[in-house]
Amino acid sequence: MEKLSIYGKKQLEPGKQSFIDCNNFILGVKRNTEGWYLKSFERNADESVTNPEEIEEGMYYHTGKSNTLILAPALPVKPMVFKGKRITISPHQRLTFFVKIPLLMQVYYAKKQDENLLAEFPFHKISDTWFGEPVNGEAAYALDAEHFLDINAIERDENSAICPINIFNNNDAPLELERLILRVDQMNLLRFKEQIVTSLVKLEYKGKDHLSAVNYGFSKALHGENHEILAKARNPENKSLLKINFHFIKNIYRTE
Amino acid sequence: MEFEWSKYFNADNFEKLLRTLIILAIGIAFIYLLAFTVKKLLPKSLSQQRKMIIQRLIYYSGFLALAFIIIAELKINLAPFFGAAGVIGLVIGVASQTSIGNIVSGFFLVSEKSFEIGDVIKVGDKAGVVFSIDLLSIKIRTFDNQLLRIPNQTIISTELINVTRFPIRRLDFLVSVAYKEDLARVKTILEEVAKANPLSLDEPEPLIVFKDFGASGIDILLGVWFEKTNYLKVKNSIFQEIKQRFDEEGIEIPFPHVTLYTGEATKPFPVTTTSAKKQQS
Repeated sequence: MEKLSIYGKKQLEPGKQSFIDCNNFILGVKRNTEGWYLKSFERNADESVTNPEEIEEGMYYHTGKSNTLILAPALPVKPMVFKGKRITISPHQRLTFFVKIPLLMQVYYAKKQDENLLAEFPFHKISDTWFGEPVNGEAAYALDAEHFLDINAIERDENSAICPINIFNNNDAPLELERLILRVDQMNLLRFKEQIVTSLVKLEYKGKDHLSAVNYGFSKALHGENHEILAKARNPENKSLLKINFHFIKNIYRTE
Repeated sequence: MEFEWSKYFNADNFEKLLRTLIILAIGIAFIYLLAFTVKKLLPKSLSQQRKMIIQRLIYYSGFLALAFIIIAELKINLAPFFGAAGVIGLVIGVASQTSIGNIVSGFFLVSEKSFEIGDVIKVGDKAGVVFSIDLLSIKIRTFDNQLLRIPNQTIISTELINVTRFPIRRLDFLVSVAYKEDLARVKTILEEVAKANPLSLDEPEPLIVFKDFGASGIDILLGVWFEKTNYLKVKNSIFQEIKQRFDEEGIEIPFPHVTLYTGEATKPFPVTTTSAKKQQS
């Protein structure tokens, strides 16, 4: 974990404080006798401006005697909607591509287990969006990122995870990807070759009027043989699911 | 004529009365216990409204059954009552015309499912959260925390807006800019404001419509979609951000202007300010 410098264990003695550089923001941490103060600061041009006393204006968590904090990456709580503007898959063809998913930083005390989670801090500002029709859709975050056909073309980044997506167009018409929902709450987060990678999203498209099959799994090529899981799925789903995964816009007032 | 106390206040009647009171107490306790148990056993996925209807059904049928049991226990002869039922029915019918109308309307309301407990509704100029749906009326908790009772009949015959029926909503802002402004630039700024707000949904896309050549400026409608729970946050933040961006970009938000003319088509009424005069001198 040499290069993943943000994450890992931090030790602080009572009365001590620390500013952790999280690239997009600075996390101020202060250890009290039996608790922690946590506050995120926006990155200033002059970092020295950050006032240590301001940490106590943040949230206080009463946790007990452990002096250990654990910082870990996590995927967002809501699904993400990928806007594929330039992807068309011909009938009965399979495409694998990659997108970057913005991560959150989770702060645990003592041990990394659900009940010890103190707070989550997003690395990126993510916009809300809606997947589906206004009467029956699903709340999600917008993923305006570009897509990559080669995983090696993606720059390593501690604040984002690479999400491999494999789509099989099992239909007689070409699939013009408009909106694709990525249920990140059902994905694991793994480390492979110094990259943070999510579960592989395997989709089978059967046509506009049909539900598509989706599976969130592993691949030897993308995750290696021994899976080093950084964060387990928030809502694990083991079976292949038939769901609405693709959305095609019907808005008559579209201006573009 | 001497009143025969012993005819009514005797050991037999006392025993009967005691038995009735015991039945009443046990019966009431049983009905409440049954309603409580059923409420606990109902699946969590069932809406609050359905839970309430089921509970009410238990109460009403339970109390009706209890009334019949007590009548039977007291050995009250109902024949004279039934004999007079026609007349009584007529009297009750006339007297409780409104109440019966409300009860019938209540059934239609429940079956129509236009709203449920917890929904935000608007009836006329009143708005609030549906607090309970009862036999005769619905009760709304207004936003300033008052209880508003609206008879079912009124609800069924009035236009009602269920504000929170769908998961997302559009909030419309009517913005006015001066005639001199570049409309393309104004449109871009409004698009940026909507896009920059994390709670404003980027899909469905924000709506921008040039509405009207108004009396003081050009009216523009900005419609922003949001998740229904974020109403206040979105309303306040977008409002502030529009004002802030317009101030930064020097876009004028006009207010009614009146220009006086001296009769010529283009020349305005000559006005000289006194402070300017003083400075000149």
